[in-house]
Amino acid sequence: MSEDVPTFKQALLAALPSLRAFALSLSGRPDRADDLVQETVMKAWSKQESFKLGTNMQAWLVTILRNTFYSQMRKRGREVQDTEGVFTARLSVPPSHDGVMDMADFKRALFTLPDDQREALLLIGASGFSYEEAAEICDCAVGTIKSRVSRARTRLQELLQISGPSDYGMDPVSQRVVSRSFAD
Amino acid sequence: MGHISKNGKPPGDGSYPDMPRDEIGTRLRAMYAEVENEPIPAELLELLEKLDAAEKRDNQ
Repeated sequence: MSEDVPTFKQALLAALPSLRAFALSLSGRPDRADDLVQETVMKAWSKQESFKLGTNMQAWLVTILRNTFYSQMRKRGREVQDTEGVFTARLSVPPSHDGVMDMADFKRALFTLPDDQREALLLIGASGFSYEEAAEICDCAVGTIKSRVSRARTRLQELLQISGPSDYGMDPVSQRVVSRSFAD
Repeated sequence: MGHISKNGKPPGDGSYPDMPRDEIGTRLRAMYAEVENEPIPAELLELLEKLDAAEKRDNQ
């Protein structure tokens, strides 16, 4: 065994912590996240000939996992929307302390985003992929990823009442947007 | 070590080429770190060992 090139198993093992984080942040449910990661590992193992050692294992695994997730979604239908309803309802109490949000507030806000926007934000902001890599993972245009990330960021800033790069305060218009999204 | 992605950055090297270092970015990374710092579940490690063992058996 060579010293520098890890075996397939070693590379897979090294990618697992980040893959688990992606699975949980995409699905929002620990039990489903575990299933997704296990299924991804089994699929990856059976397709390992199609993976080139030395290329981006993380991107390859994330691609398999998100495809598995969406195909399960299609089979399970409305179940997820119910979950999102719960998250949204809880969000109707805004962060209590001025300018400080805790992690629970942040996660609730994140799960009010549509799946495709949350996914794009996670790939860029948490997994650390570039726009180009994320576009390849999601099989869409680079511009689509950019626009999803941008919409996700704007929505989170509104929900969490934090200022973005433009450093705006809460004006009447965004107040209305926020109230409307709480009511949805 | 060995694997470099197409944009030249090793995956998981802690750089975020397209994410500003603002509050949302910081929160996202902290959220991931919570999970990444957990030990990998034993079930998952066992699965990997089983797959590896089965493959070695088949190759003999």
